[in-house]
Amino acid sequence: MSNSRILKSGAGALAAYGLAIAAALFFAFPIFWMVTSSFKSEVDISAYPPVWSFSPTLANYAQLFTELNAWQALLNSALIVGLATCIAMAAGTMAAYALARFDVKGKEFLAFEILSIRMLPPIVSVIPMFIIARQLGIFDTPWLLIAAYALSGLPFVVWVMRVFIQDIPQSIEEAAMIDGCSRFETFWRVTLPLLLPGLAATMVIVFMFAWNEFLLASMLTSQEAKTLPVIAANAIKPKAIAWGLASAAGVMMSLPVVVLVLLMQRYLVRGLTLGAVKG
Amino acid sequence: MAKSGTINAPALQLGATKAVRAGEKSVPTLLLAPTMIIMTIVGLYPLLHSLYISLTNYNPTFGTSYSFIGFANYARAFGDGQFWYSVGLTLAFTAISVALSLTLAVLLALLFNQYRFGFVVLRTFLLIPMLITPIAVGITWRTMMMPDLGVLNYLLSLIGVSHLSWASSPSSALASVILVDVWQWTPFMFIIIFAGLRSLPKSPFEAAAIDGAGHLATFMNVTLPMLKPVIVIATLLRVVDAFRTYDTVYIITRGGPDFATDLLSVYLQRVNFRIFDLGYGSALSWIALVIVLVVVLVFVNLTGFLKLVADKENR
Amino acid sequence: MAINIDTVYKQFGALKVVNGVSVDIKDGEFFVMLGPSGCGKTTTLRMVAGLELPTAGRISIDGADMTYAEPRHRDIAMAFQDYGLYPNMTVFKNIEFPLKIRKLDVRERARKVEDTAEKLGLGELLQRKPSQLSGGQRQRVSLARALVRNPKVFLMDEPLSNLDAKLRAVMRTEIKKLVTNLGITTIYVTHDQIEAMAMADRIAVMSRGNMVQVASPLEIYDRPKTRFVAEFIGSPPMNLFPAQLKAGGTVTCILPNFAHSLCDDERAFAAQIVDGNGGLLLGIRPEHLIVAKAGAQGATDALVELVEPLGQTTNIYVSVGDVRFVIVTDRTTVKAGDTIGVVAPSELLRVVANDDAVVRH
Repeated sequence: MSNSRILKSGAGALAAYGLAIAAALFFAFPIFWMVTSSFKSEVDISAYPPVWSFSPTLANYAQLFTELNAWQALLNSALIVGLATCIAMAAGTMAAYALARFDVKGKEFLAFEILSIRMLPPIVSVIPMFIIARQLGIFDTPWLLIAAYALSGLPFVVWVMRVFIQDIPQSIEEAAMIDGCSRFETFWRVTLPLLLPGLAATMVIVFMFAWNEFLLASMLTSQEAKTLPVIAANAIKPKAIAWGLASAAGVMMSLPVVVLVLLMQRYLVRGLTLGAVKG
Repeated sequence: MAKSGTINAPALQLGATKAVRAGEKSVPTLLLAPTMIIMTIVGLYPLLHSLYISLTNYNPTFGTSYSFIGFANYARAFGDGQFWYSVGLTLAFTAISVALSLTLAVLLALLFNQYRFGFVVLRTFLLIPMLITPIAVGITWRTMMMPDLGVLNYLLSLIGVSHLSWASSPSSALASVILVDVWQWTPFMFIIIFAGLRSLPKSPFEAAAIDGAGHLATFMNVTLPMLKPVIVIATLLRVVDAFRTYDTVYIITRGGPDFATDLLSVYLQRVNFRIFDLGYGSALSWIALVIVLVVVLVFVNLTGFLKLVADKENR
Repeated sequence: MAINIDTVYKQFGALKVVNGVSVDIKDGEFFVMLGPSGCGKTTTLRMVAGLELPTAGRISIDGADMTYAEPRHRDIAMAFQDYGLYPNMTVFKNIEFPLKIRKLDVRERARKVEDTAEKLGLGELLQRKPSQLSGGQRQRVSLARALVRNPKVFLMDEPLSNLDAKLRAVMRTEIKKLVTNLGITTIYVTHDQIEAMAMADRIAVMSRGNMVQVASPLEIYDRPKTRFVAEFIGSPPMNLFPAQLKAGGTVTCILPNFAHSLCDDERAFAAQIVDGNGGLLLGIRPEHLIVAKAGAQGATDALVELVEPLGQTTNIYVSVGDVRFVIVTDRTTVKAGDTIGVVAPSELLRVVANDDAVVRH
């Protein structure tokens, strides 16, 4: 190798690492800031210049539960989002199987219909939901949000699971049917085990979007069914903004999803690209 | 000499033979039923109800009775300067934010496509922003962007850049909000494009190298065309989502200062749930919906998106 | 178990993929459906399996009408082109699966699986997963799974096309031996004419949704009825020349000394072709042509264009004016540019129809 080539490769590596680290810093810094802020006392948080080393305190987290009623919000979020995710997964996967394995009249049109839900700005459906909910007396109940979140998750589940199902060769299912399985048995014994990674990955993503949702939750709840994002936003409302408290709320809200997603990283890529990648 | 065994018979696409088998006539319908029911009850019905409300002057603060006023709300909408300002602002916001995100995502994808030690870990940091609850993102950035007490201005002062007003001044508020949006959602586009990049076949690149193409030429003529489907999907998804941005703007500026960041969702929320002019608000929402559909249709047409999806099915 | 396919059609929209196919397959027969891709052979097989429903017609297995029966009620077994193995199960579990579904008890199942695995040389591989096996091994697992149930009927959809040539030849004999020993009625689909010739009791040559000719391999080889069949079987394919039917029952073509007197059973066929306005062809296999000296009695002079020595045989490509054909002989000293005499024994010339339409009934 000539000297200039060694130089180039060295300089190239330096540049690459430099840029990569800069990018990682750019994306990681605010998160670092949020996490550290959540452990700062009132004094440290409003200090300027900002304090880099400080003695951490759990006061903010304690406040979450005493002042913001985080416990109930946590339960609400878990229950509402959990149930909605299950409904979306069940209904969506069944629909995806129908679209992937059967000749349905107007199949592509149907698929597009389901997909178009995703394009609906939530604000459009919030108003009628608000009105109808009040009339039916289900305003501020978990059921309202569960229904709304289930609907939001459906398009994603249908489209992604359809791709995962198509990835499983039909000959395997046909072999099972010849071996003696009914259609349902085939799905249960043969298709489902192969579908598990895809199901898990999709579930995490659907869960994430519902968990983080704010607009619908804030508009359709007032006391009983508040979810985590709603109470976090409440930390900002009063005149004296409680930054420590808000940061703690932010960390607590985001933790479950971050952990889940990092665990499932590998499978998620496939789902997100909606099959456009491997084809 | 005639070729043996090759006849011009129409090719049978075995993938297309998903015929209904014995005893399975009702199965697809049953499978699709739950989805269709949910879509109708939770999606279609409220939508139609909203259409109906938009033709009335329903406002709960004035009591529960209301009257049918035909297209008056829509007529009013066309003259509503504030509304159209919001629409324009949102379109601008979407265009700029998505363009920036896309560029950044592509560059990052190219950067991280190298197999270097430690890159996998660094890549993980890139993923996190899109996982954080948007409300939390808003809270954090608002904290950081405080003109007097925020850490961003502090860091800038260390390198000699003076006091920026970030989200507190009308002139820089939109840019600040765009920055936050880009920060949060570039990772989303990055993942998709990166996965696409990683799965590209090697041989066209080898051919290009042999043909003598440099980095830029390879990128423009080989990489980019092959990435097109992935870029189109990522962009479409992002455009639709950017149009609906609400959470971060709500926390950081509430649409101010001086309506500098009064995006469509924020404006609509105000009309509907502060003023409670639900009839008018519904009409506005429908117009917004139509605008989104138009944007999507234009996009789909320009990029031949549907054909991409159909091709994949017929494999 | 005998299988009866009665005027079966399969239509997708306007496309008739299977166009009125009828055939009786005898009990214990090894029946091959041969043809190029798109000819309808796989679709016909899948209809016998129950994986597709016919648009019209009937299918009976062992006298019982199975046209609309589900696959699992037909007591058939099938080997797929891509093997169709269950990826997350071991070889043992793969083979065991059909028995498990039929609720045989554990010990019975294990016994049968081990027996079948032994027969197919899979004894060592029982705990491996399909991803850890070679193509040939996967193919054998697929066969084992099919045979473990002792089915009435065995359907095979191009099971060997994904294997390399050498392995294909080996597996071919193994399959034929296995299936013949067990006496199972087998329908085998392939586009490879050598497989068909080697394995079949009868071959059905298919084109565009029709069975053009159904006969034993040698019958198809010696007496192909149409150009399609004549050219599909045999390598190099049969030489074919446009011909005319002369009064008195002689068929002649453009080449002098290539003439054939029709025997009785051929007269009807020839008349059918001429009446149906299809073209009449005279055909002869390359290995039946005799090389003689130029100008010899009864020979046609031909110019040698190319000689391909293949070791065991030699291909000689000749031309007479604009007409070109091939001769296959043993080792020879003939070379390109020579003029030779070609003798076409009258009794080895065949009457062939140019058009498939003639043979559809």
